[in-house]
Amino acid sequence: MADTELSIFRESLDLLILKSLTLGPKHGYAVAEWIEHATKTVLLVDEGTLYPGLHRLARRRLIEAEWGLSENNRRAKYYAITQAGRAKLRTHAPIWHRYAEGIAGALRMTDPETA
Amino acid sequence: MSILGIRRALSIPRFTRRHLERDVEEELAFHIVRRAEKLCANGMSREDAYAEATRRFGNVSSLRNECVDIDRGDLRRERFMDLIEHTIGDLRFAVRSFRRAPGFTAAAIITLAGGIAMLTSIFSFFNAVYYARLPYHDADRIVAISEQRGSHGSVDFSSVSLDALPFVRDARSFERLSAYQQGGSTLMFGTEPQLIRTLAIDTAFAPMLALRAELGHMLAPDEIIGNARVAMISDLVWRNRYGADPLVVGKQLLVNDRAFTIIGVMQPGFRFPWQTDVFTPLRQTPDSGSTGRDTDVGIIAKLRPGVSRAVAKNELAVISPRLASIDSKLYRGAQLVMRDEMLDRRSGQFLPQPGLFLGAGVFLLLIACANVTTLFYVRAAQRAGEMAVRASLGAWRSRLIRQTLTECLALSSAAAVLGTVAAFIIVKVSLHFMPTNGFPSWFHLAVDTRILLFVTAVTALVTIVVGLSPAREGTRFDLVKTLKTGGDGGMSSRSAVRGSKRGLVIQLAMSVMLFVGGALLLRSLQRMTSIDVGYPAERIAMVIPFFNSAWSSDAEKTSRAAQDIVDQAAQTGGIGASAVRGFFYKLRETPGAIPKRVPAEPRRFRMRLIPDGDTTRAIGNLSPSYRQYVVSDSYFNVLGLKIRSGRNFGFQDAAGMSVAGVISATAAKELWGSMNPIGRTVQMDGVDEQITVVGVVDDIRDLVGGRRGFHADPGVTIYLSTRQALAASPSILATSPVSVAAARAAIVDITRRVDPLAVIGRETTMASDFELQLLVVKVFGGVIAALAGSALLLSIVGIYGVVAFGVAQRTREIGIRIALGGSTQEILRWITTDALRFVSLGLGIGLIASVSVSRLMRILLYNVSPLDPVVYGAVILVFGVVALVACYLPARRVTRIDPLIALRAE
Repeated sequence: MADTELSIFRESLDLLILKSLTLGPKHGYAVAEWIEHATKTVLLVDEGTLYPGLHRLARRRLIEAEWGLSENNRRAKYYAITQAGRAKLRTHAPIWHRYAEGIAGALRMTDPETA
Repeated sequence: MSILGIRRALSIPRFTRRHLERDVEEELAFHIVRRAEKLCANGMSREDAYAEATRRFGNVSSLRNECVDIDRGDLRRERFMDLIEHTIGDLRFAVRSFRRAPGFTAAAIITLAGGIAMLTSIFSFFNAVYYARLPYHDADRIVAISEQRGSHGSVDFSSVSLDALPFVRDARSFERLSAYQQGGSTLMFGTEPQLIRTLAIDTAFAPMLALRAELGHMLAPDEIIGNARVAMISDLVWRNRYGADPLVVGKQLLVNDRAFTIIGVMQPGFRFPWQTDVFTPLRQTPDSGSTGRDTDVGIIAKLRPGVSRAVAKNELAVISPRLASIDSKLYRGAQLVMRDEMLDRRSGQFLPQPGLFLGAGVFLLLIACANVTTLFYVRAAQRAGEMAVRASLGAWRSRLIRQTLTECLALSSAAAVLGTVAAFIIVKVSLHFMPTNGFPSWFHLAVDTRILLFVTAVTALVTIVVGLSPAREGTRFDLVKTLKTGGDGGMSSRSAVRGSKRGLVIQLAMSVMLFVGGALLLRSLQRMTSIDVGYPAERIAMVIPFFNSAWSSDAEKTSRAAQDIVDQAAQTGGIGASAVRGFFYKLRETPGAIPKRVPAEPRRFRMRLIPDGDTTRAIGNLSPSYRQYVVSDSYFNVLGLKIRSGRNFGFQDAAGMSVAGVISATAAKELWGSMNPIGRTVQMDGVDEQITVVGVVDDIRDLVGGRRGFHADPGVTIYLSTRQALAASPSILATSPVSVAAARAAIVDITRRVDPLAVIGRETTMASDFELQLLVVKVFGGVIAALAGSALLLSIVGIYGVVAFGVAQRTREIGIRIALGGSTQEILRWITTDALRFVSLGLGIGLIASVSVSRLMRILLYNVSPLDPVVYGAVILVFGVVALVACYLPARRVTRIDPLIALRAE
């Protein structure tokens, strides 16, 4: 991943995947596109982390996988969020908000000495 | 059941790694294609687009593996949790349903527990003898070596001659070699002489086995080399005879009239090879008067680390031909053979016929299984409704099967626990009735992992045998039909009746087989007790004195002592006639010659007889009823055997004269046919001189066991006179006008006077030997008869249950028949005939199987064909009558059926 692009932590990727699936079942490619789109292409999802993430979430029963047909009639593996996944998103999203705001606020703060 | 069904029932994962890999590959490929398509749409060339899409994945194959690994962990855990969850659920369900059917549950558990208990108790003996670790240091590397001369069938593993010993020492496969010599000695405890087993050991023995003294010290090398008069006693003797006296060391011990100083007590339990009580130094050189050729020692050897038994055997085979350099004639074809362990646990003295016992145990368990299967069928029918409801709620058939199997598992586990406890009670109780000194010291009956594994395996087997077929039948139903009839009628109960009958047929067949076995043994026993041995065995007292063992190095002395007893008996009131009889040992030396040493055990020569010096007419294969006896003049008189031609022994047959022999009528016929044998000569192995036949006497018979069963043929018997030959272990035979007991008591008195150190054998009459042999058959007969009895009982219960169940299931049908005017007699006959049809099927199968299997029992039979018609007739009669009664009683219930009630029953 290029230096200029922000690398996202596993935890935040999990949340983004869960969030993307709240809008309906998606296959891996659609999840990646959604994340890029939703983060205004600030976050380019690395496939090397996306798929292990999806499988890990499936293993933890936060999402479910099922084979289906894609928009252009190809076999694709669709993921859907489970009850447990929704609960996780509900409890963890606020934490992430506070975290992101905390970091952002701290970085915006003007240093009295250099100012 | 289909493969899929079994897999589901046993919860075998559906996905292999290959499946998962393909799955992930397809998923990733989809992504790449979509990405590439988008890049193309943005104006990239097709090749570049694919390259870019793939590049973004980094290393695709490692990514694939990463995903597969995550999935696999998932599957495994999921399946495992599922299994546990379901099993716990099933178990809970099983316990609940058992509580609702306490009668069924108790019957099934007790039946299975009985079978498991029997088999486990038999196995625990088997286990103790065959699998117990020998409690010796590095026992897994210690082997036994023996020398085999001539073509003897069996190998005596305590016989390597001293002359051959250096050749064994040459073998490089062994790290260490130790020699020992077994013996029997008379030991005086107070005034009562006792025969004990001794073991003389060399200097290597104790270090090789890492033996320690419980008290005092171990026989030291200088004591052994110096042949000191010191001895160690076994822990058993120390406790039983010396009351575990801590001051026993230093006391004197009279062994064979010689005083030994006790220097220590051997470590507890060490009585190698067999019930040894006194350990002494082994003389390093042959006794005076004998050579290294006829002095035998036992050899144990420790393999060098890493040397396999096969290699060691090979080396011994290579060395063997060199033995001929000792004496080319005596050692021609001599072989050094090796046994894999220092002890021979397979020797019959520990556990006779383990296969038969185990087989009978397995059989009883299978019968119990068949019985419980029958019960399960009945139950499956009663639960058809419940199963159908569950199926309609979406339960897979495999789930229902698993449910039934779990119930079986719960039942058989309960039975296994109960059975194992019962087995150990059985073992404890039966040990109480057994002579405990009949077992070797390393024989410990205990619950060990092997027994627990055995019980577990048996339980698993029982579960599958009992459960699988009723589970399949019980869950195969027409859902709608079963639900409509309320679960009590319909197809499934029909198939359950059929299934329970099938179970019963199997059970009956096996019971019949056991019964045939038991009956054959009883019949054999009956025949054995009526054997005419040719003389009134139970009216002739027999005393076998083990003379003062100091004399045993001199057969002349024991022979003279035996003759003295007979001579004194002649002057004693209360004794009619008495005689000496012993196994032939060797001819008396002509006066002046140096006597040879007598080995502790009599050697038996049972090879061949050569008439008239003509080897072409030699008769071989004489064993096992071939006998060579040395008898006193009065012997034939005491036994009441008539001299048919020629004469008895007399003064003319003195030592140094031509050797006179009296032969049995059968011997005369075998050797010379119809010719007159008197005056002819015969040569037997072990005797250089020709024996001149002076008389022919009536035959005698012995009960002899063999591979093809017991027999009591009048064997070839050759008698030599005590005047000319020496006997090994002579016995004194006597008759009395008063009673056998009186004759025996008088002989014992005289024996004590002649040799105060003599130990008197337990035999009381000439029938004693015979009774001992009968004991084996009696024990077997008892066990098999007990098993057959329980099998018969189970069969009665089974038949009764199945018929009663069938009648209950058909109540409505019967009601209709009665309503339509059928007489109860007619219906009774109809039901009984139906029941007898499957009973006779079971009987038939059992009889056919018996015919093929009973041949295995031949070894225990005497004069009874494995196909004895009386036995088979009796079995058919017993089972027929029993089956008829067991059918009739429940069937009679139909006569009490009121058609109105019966029709309303459902």
